[in-house]
Amino acid sequence: MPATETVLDVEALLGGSKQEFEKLVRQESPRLFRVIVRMVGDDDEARSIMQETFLQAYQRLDTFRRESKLTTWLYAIGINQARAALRKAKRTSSLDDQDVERMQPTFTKGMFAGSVDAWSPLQMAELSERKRLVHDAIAKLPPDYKEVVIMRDIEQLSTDEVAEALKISNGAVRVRLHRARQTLRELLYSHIRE
Amino acid sequence: MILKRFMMKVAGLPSCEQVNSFLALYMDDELAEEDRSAFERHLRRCKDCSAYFHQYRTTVELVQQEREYDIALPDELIEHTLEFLRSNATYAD
Repeated sequence: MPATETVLDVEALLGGSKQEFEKLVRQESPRLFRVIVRMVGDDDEARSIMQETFLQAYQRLDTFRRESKLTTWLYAIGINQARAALRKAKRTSSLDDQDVERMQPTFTKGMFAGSVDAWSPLQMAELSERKRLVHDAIAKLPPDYKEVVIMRDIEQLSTDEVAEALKISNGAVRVRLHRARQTLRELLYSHIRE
Repeated sequence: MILKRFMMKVAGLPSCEQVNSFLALYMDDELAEEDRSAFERHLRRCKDCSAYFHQYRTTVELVQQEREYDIALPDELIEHTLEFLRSNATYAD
């Protein structure tokens, strides 16, 4: 828990307390902003999406079901807002579902279809130095995959929390995350073997 | 490949494809003890899966380092957000 984090009175907040809601805004803005920026790739757009997310959250407090965490519920609203903004702007990712499928490893009768060459120390060093490669690779993922990577691997939410936020099963979170990681591996490999 | 498949089968070990499907669970330390043991024994005998696992783990570590790629919240954004909320009729009521 960050040093600045204060304990929220969830009951008062759900009862409409603006004081408690504004504590939530102060407490959750940094992480929510990071998640949204990574989703939409634009600071200005992320600002307005974040503001709209908090407004929607306040207006929909009565829809909060106590079986999930309040913050998870808030991220669900933020992710939906970010998806809607991407759709509205007709901004597409560089990769689509077919590309993701193509970047999964292939097997013949259960065994690797081709040989997997180990990355050399030089290639490993190059990957560690070129951090921008990883950043750009994540940005290329289709939204369904990107949001799982952002929440699970970057923001370190639990599988349960990601499943709740995205309203999918834990198994579906794991499958998406696995496919996303395999796609990222392939994207990174395509750069270092050039 | 046929020989490798035969050897894995004789040793009672999962196929490369099964091992691949275990990667995320293994990384989360959520594999049952028996599966984890079979996963690790397969990796010791299979250079393809061993190389692939190493690359998969490296990828995850590099992605996790994105956390350090700081996206700072603009100084005034929280205050602007609160002003935005207070200026909205449904919030101000």
